[in-house]
Amino acid sequence: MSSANGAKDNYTAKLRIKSIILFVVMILLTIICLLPIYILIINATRASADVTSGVSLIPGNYLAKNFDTLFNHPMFVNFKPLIGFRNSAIIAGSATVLSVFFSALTAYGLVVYDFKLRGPAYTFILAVMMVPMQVTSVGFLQFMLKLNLGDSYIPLIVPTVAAPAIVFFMRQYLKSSFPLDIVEAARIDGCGEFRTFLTIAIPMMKPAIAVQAIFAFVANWNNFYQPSMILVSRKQNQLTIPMMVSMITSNDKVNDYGAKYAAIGLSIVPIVLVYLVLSKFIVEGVALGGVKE
Amino acid sequence: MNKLKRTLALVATLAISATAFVGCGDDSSSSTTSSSTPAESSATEESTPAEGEETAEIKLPSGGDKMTILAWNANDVDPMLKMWLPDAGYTEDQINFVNFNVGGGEAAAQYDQYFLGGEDVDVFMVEADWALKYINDDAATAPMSDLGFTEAYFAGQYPYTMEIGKDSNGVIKGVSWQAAPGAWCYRSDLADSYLGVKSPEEMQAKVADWDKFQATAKEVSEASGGKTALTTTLGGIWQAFAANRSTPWVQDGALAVDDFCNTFIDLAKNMRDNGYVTDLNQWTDDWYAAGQTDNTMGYFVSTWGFGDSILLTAAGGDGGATFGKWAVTEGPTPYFWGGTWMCVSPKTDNADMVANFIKYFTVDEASMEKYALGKDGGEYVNNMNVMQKIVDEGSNSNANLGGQDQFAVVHENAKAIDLKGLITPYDASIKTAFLDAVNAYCAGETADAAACIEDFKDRVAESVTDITVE
Amino acid sequence: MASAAQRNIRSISYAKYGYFFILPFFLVYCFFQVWPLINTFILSFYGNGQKVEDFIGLDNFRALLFGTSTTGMGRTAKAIHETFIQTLGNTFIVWIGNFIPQICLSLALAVWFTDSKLKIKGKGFFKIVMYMPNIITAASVAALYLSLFAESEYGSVNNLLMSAGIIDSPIKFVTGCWQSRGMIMFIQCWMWFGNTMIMLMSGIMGLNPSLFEAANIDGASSGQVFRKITLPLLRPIMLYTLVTSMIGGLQMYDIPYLYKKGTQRNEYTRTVAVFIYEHFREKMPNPNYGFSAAASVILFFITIILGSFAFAMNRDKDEAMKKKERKAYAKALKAKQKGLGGMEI
Repeated sequence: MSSANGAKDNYTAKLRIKSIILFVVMILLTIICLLPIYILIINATRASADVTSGVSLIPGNYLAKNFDTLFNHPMFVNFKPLIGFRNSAIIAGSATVLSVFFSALTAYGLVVYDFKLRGPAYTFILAVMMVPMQVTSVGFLQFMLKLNLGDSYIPLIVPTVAAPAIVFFMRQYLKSSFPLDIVEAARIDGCGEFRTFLTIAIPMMKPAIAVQAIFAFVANWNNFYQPSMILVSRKQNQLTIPMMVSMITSNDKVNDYGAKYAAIGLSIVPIVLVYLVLSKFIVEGVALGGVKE
Repeated sequence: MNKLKRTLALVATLAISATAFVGCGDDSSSSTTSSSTPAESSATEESTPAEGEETAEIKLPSGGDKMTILAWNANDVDPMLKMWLPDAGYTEDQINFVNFNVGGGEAAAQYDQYFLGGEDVDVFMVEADWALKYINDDAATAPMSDLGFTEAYFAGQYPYTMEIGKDSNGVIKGVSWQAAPGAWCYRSDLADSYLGVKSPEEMQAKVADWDKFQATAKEVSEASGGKTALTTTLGGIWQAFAANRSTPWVQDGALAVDDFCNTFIDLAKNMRDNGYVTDLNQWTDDWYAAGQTDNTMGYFVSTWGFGDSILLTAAGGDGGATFGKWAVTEGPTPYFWGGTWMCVSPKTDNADMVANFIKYFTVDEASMEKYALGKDGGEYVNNMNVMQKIVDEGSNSNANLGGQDQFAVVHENAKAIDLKGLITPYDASIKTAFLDAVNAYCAGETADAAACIEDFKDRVAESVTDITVE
Repeated sequence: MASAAQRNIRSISYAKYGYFFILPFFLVYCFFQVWPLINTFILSFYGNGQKVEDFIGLDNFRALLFGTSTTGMGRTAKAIHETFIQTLGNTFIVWIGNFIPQICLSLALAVWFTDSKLKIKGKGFFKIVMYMPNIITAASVAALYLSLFAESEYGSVNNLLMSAGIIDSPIKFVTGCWQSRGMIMFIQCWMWFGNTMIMLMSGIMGLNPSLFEAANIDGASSGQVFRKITLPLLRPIMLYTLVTSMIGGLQMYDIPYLYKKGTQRNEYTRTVAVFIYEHFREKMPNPNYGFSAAASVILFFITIILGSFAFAMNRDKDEAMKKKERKAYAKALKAKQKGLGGMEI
């Protein structure tokens, strides 16, 4: 009895030491993760000449001035963050909902039903996942323009219904943690197929959905390549936030580094805030969805 | 139809109203307006007999909904529109400004994409480096004569800007409102302490050609104990040096590699190995930061580079570490760097407005002068008479240059720039490839000058598939 | 009621629902993406520069892969071959260099974070923080790192190291061969390890907790649990991670594209995707559509081959597991047929 207790103490002591070591590792990783972001935000508070001449960990007092430049200098006339946030939110929000929902649907179809074309369909999805997107883009743009969909959000939103990588993830997830008997049981209870998907599968897929929703939202929020391709006319009220930031960072005639960083900072602050507010939910969502039997 | 009539009427009265506006609107230039009138009439006499005729010569259609302007940033178009719209009697509603907001080098890709869509386009801006891509393409650009402009209209322009605007048959298809002659800027305090040089004239004597430039670099290096490089980047040197070429880069469809290349390779190697030029690259943070230290003494700068774009930022901004310690001189050779040209799409449906716009900024000396002085930070407009007058009046002085007038310095260079008909559509790619190859050689990636040339040929062969590289 | 439903189950084929469920995906994909894809294949058989209308058969492929040509590309074929092979090499080096540390780190973190026995203070906080780098747009990340790691003595990091006396001359973080590759590996890893970690965590959390409980009761060590339970069960998600990261790695584009010195991109970090983009959009005066499309097709096939390899490696065990599953399922079905309502949810 006592020896067993000793072993247990030993075991918990080991765990404690491990926890402490891990804690230190985590602190280090946190610094590595946050330091560059911190510097970015500090730079937004410094004068342009200070920014180019070295790094600082102490905020400067140029924040107001940088914002003033950003909002009032004619060079930054296209930088309208509120409009940018709205547009990015519309695109990223709809794209996220569509891609996650339809991917869950597709993956569910592939996993739950045994049909003749299941194998080929799955292989097809995997294959198209591997297509490099750089070059198909010109054909895509030509086609969209032919359909008169230039300057429209439709080509940015609707195609996300077909998101092969998300389907792949969902399928893998269902494979590893979705008991097919549940579907059978639901049928016995007289539950329709689509309703089974909505009321039983979706809740069970919560972790996968939560994860892919964050990823999809971030990816679409930060997407620069496609909007800058499709929104050919660069209408002021259609620009997304990455487009607005890039027109400041990639314009080689804008050399107010303080204002540049203020713009970058301003573009990431909302998404970081949203992430922080939702993170509890997200992290828990990831945790909660575990399959309980 | 009504709209058409109205715009025609506006165009017809434009020249009068424009000068009138200048006369009454702007105090600082009211004196210059009156004095400019005789000069103007002598320069554009043959072209201005009757404004009404001119509109009749416009062969392209007018009356479209909005005038669409394409550009890759708003730095020029915004101030231009701000001045032109009220003077011409148009409103902002009549303008559709498509701003791609990319670096100049990426703009062509954006344009191709835009043209693909067949959206409305009337005027678009092109950069010297890739202007010929569109100017040689009749589907993309219309001759200026279709807007009623003959070559005589542009008699006041700097000759080199006209050359770039012509296609392979000599038809003018692009015009520029600005000239971009380059110069060499240096730290006058360092020049004084290392070289005992007191004035830009003395400095010019020490950098008058490339041999002197290298000798002076050696002197500076020795005087500073190897600390200070005479100039900051090979890219800057190359910008000026490339203007020395006496034969085209492409002859009979093949890349021409000659002694010119070897001369530059030797120069670059000598400068770099001895620390006469730093190993920085243009358009990096370091490049700007170097200007606030004693590690470099000079920058190659073009007319547009005296403000934020280069020199002011390098000085650390207004009141920065080296602000006011700079001076400018012609440098080893006349050259130009950059500049923007306007092209008209053959599909334009607002030819009258476009013609008005082009006339305002490239033909009409009064309005050009107004723009030169009125634009924030000043503009080096593309008219020799106007610039001569501004220089003569001595109204421009640059605090960062200790009060020196940069226009006066580059003015002579600008007239001396002679492209000798050498330009080819491939120049931008070839010049970049050469600089990259030389940079690689100086960094020790290729063994010797011969290997550097081979590297250069490979780079050209890879990117420019339309020419032969032996 | 139950018995009626039961009868239905056996008489109705549910296969058609499978088609319904996957239909939206295929409709949308075919509508938006199939033509662009075909277009790429077509372009790969046509010429470059002004000769974009000329059909040249397999010459683009010949030039890229072997440096030869039958349509007189001459030096171009050789030069493009050298560059292409180098970009392929760069792609693999940079991918492997960021994938291995990234997956190890992410997996370790995912396991630690999901291990209920470990009492790490501020676990929630750490989890949140580690995903942060992924939120920032690549353009901002590149701009930030370029300014921190600028090459001259004014660059923040170089400045710091030099004033601390660790180095005498500035490190070439942007143009040096291994320095720049190392930086790109680091930036990629920095941006993506949080993403991978969350993905793996969701996979681990989806596993049946009773297995872990059982293992705990049996007194299994963390290492044992990881090797015997977590890793084998995590296989599908690991496969996903491997395959998507492979695709992402082979098509790595934004950081290598943006991480450059001024206007000069360094040849050690030019990836295939950057090569494709450059020939597609940045060549003056005319783009080289043929090379660009042919390189995409080659990249596509490389991805498919490596992807199939990953799947094949996984399939053996997958199949074996499936067989067992199927047997168990058959047994359960039989059992159910005997005694109704034996299901628990």
